[in-house]
Amino acid sequence: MAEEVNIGMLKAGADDAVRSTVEAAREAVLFVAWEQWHSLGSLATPVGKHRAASIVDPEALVLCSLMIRDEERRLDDFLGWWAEKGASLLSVQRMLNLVERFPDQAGVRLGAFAGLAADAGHKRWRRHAVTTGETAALLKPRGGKGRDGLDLVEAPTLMLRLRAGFGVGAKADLLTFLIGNGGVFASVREAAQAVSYTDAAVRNAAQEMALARFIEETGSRPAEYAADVRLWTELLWFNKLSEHIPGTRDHTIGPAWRYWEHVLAFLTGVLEWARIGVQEDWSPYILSSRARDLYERHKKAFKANRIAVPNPGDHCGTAYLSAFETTVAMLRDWIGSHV
Amino acid sequence: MVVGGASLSLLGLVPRATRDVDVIARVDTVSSNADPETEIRLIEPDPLPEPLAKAIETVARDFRLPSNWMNTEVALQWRMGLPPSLKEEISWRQYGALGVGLVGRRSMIALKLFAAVDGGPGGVHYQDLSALGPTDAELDEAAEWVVTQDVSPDFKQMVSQVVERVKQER
Repeated sequence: MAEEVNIGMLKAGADDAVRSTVEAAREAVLFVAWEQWHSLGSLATPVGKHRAASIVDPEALVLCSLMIRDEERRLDDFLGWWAEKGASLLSVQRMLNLVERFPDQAGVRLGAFAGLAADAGHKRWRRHAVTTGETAALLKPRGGKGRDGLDLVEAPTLMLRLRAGFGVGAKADLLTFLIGNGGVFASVREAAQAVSYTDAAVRNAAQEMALARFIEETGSRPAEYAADVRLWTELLWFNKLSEHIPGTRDHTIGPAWRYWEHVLAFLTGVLEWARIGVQEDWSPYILSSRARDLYERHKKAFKANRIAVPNPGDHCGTAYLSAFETTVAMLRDWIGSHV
Repeated sequence: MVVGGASLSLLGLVPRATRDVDVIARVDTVSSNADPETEIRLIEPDPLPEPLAKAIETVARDFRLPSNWMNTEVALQWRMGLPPSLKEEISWRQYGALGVGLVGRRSMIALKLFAAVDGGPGGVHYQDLSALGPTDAELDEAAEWVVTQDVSPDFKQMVSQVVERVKQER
């Protein structure tokens, strides 16, 4: 997103709907980014009434921030801070898996983030770093925009805490998902789709963790897995760690898994949809058709999070533009109470 | 290249809605001249180019149309032969990246006459033929081609009956 979307350039008939859609998407994605960066310990000031309570997806947060940095330049500061302090807790493979779901620009910009991480001494990122040209100079972080050392005290940092404790990989992320899933049993396929690893990797991780009695396994085939949330929340001291933080919610049931990768990929896709629409002077029909593509591509953001939105099939042709506007507004409203 | 109701409508010859778009041929872009109005080589439309097939699918989804809203069923006509005038009077329209050839009046009269013989006077093809208001010369030229499409003895007589009826109802 090299320039702000000038909706006034769109063909007549679509301006209002697209403008409103973009505003809702921008508001939603900035809200998530801001709250989640704050949870990680950056100097982002939270904007919600309550502190974030759902589990931060660190790779999705980085990719989303790379996509919307033009909207809010302070995100460069947080990305720079995280590249230095937190890159060791990021999964390179998972980042590469997730980047496919984000707009194409995310892949290019990831090279800039990898460059900062590599410069900070995180060797795993060196292979993906772009060190020359425009991309290398893309991020311009100012120092001092986060804690000197990581202090993962807030419940949303669960994934990072478990990675710090067990190592970056499928086991930590699977356990994060199962705790965030509230003790509900999930199949290997469901868990793999949630954490974006292969079924095989998640199956191995689940079987070994079940063997270790870290998680429960059903006797049925295919097997399903769940975490004893009460025991894990006690062990992980969510309330104890964050009791001094004002506005923190009760975490006796643990932080929730919210499929942020799908939500953030969709929202950044919406911003990119509008940007390209303006740039290429799409007609209202093309805008509506590409909006359907976007929804279909990311419908897991809605289905997995159980957000009821208009069904594209119920809206013929350009009528979907208005339904899409409603879809994004509903997602924004959902985020307001579920971040 | 499009025939049928879509072609009639786009050319403004017969203003009526149509259920589908009949694709009868496509231009061989490999061997044809870059300018589609000169030296084109028509080939059978199947398989449709991948981007067009994908676009057909997308439009069907977006407007809740049947998946075959644009189809090549009429291309069966290639087996028996196309009207000789087909290549001579194509009108080209450009819709974004898609160039659409609209079959001209003489070929449409020939194809509609052929279809009207099958469909009878109550059918949409007969109505289209009638709406085209063909002259005697146009009908005779069309009939000359249509009779080559079926060798059965009755067929020639059926063609004549339709031609006569159109002339009478003018």
